[in-house]
Amino acid sequence: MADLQNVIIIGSGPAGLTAALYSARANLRPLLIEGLEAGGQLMLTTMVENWPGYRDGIMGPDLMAEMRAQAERFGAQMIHGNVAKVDVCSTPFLVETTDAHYRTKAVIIATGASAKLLGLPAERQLMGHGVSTCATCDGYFFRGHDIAVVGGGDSAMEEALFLTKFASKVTLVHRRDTLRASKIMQEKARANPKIVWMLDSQVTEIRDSGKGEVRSMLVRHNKTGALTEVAVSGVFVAIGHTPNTSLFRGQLELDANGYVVTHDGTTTSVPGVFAGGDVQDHVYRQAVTAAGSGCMAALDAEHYLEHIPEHLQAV
Amino acid sequence: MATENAGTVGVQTPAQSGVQNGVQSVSNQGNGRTVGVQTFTDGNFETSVLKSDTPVLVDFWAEWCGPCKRLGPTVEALAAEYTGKVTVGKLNVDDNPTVSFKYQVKGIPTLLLFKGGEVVESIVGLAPKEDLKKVLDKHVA
Repeated sequence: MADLQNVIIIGSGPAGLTAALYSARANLRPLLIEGLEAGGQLMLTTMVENWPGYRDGIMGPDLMAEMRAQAERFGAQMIHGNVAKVDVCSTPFLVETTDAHYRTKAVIIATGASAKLLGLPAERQLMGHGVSTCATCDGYFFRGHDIAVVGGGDSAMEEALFLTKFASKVTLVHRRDTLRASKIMQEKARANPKIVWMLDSQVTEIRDSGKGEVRSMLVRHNKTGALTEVAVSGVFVAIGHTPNTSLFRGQLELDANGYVVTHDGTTTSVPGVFAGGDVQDHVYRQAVTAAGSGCMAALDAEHYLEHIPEHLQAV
Repeated sequence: MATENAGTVGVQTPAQSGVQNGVQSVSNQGNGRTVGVQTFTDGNFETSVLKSDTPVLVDFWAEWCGPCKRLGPTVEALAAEYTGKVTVGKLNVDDNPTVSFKYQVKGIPTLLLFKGGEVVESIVGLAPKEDLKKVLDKHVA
């Protein structure tokens, strides 16, 4: 454990695994710490239709398994586990899991982003009892039920479409009157007769039956202010993501929304610390862009290690 | 659901890293004590869980649930660490709808801890091993 690592990659979505692949091929012997949500957001999806090279699409979890195996093939070392603490204020950097401490010359942050919640009081209590952020995990339990999806992006459309396989009706609630989702996803969703729309509306309350199960939601129309109680037994929240950067607060420059600020490629405010994927990108947020920036981070780290200032090399 | 963002701790020990996700590893050590991760069903739930003398941790899972597979090695690690103190097993929600329905499981992974036939703890979504140990430790002597 006392060995000084060249590069530690934190996170195992497309950005982290691509960074691992590239840095392994550059003989840097990278160590990748997978994290609690190993595999990242693609582990929660079904068919990925926009990953280039797979004309018929590929299942998200299968794609991640392939990426992982590919990185391992070139010698990337995978650690099951979760990073508890990072110290990048002095060199060599320190990365701690509950089981081990590592010292490293460079760090690649690829911790991604996790689903946001609505912030309603009952939401957390009812998680797993009707409230969900994972349609592929929980859709099965709503066979023949009326449910709701909250959100207006591609993820919300995908969840709503997926859930029509189980639910009798899916009410899609979005706070604006236009959707942010891509045209192709909007068209798919609009063509589905099981999806009904409540646009320009917000969920203000999730009500339970008194037995700890979702029974209905209260929806407020933004223009009229009218409140409607809609009977649903499930509410799937797909309102976007928040970056996983709590480990780095106070150590790295973050933007107002908590994203890692990068410049000149993937360089962060600390030399030797690089970031790729959704943790530093709130604009594109695609599997392929995450992989691309993971590659950039690996190349940037490689370049840094070749030109590492002498005074930083000492252990 | 799977996006509970814990952000800290929780590591599989190297001893578990060779264990395949989803593999049911049950062995009998000759002393009558079953070790490893058991398989619970609608059929054996009453005897194996509700009437058990030791607390029982039940992992509700399914083949199609990505996060459940991620939790697999953690559950296996707990089974090994709590041998003799907590019985640990998995229940496939696809194959065992009666138990899943009875305990209102509507999101997986869900872990329920049973003691004396009653649910004493419920953990929905992914959780680090360290957090789960804290929960279990409340209920073992």
